[in-house]
Amino acid sequence: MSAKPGRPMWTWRVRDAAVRAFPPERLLPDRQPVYVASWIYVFGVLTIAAFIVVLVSGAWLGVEGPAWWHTSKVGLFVNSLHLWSTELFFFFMVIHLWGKFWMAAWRGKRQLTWITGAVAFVASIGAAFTGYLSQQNFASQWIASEGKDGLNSAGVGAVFNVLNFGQMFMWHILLLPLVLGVLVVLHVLLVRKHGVVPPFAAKAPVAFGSGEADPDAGGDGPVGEAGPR
Amino acid sequence: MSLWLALGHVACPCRASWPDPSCYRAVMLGLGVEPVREVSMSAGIVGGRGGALLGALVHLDHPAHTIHWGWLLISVANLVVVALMLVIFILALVLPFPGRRRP
Repeated sequence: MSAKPGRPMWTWRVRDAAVRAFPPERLLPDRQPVYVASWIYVFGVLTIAAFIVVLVSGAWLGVEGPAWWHTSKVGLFVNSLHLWSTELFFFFMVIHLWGKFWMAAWRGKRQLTWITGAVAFVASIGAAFTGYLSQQNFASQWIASEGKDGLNSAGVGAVFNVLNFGQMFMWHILLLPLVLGVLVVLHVLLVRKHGVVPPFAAKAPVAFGSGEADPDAGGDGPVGEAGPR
Repeated sequence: MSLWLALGHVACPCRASWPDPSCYRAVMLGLGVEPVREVSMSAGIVGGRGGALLGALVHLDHPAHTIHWGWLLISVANLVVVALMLVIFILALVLPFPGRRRP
């Protein structure tokens, strides 16, 4: 596995490509444009915070199992924690979505950032739905028996069988969290790479960490003022 | 537990009041099955001391209230959440951010 003379090893090339795509000074900026000092820019990170609680509480539930989360006091607490962190996850995510939609956050070469966020939203709905099917109680049976008719009427077919608990459980604890995790990481990396979208009235005043104008920004008004966060 | 769940799923005759825990509790008792614990439809606790405390604040032991207006059918609980999201969205736009420098 040694490199050919004059040609760097593949590990070096991968690292070089990653650093060029995501410069470290953009990944962890210590300065932000002044327009980021607004509450509407907080809901993205609140969504991620809720998502972390969802993952941790879900992993705990997965380790202990249904008998634990239905009968023990700690299990009931962690079960409720998993539910309410999910509720907050969607609550914050939808407000984040509204804010970005009305800002047209796909401006300035940020299409992929918008698309990864939108697909993550859809994947989250699937994760929540399969979570309700995995509760192992009356509600999950009721939702499964009602949901199968809706999905069948939409032509989904048996490939996604909501009455198959094992299949739904694996979608919930493995496939969809994996997809969602990858999408969230990609979404955040793209936000770091292109910067947060400026309001319509402002041009992006700074590139992250450099104090220089960002040519990728999508604003079209007067230049704002940079400030530390 | 699975037997209890399976029996309840088949036997509960009052689908109209399905979220009401007393509904399937009555059915289970009629079948001679003693439920050991009530578990809410949304994974929280409705029984026990914690449930009694919450119940003193908001009465949740009943079927959901819904609003039906033309094609729109939504539970009051979901409508409250949507309204709360709209309020917080507007507040996020108008409230000043701490430490923001004004020109």
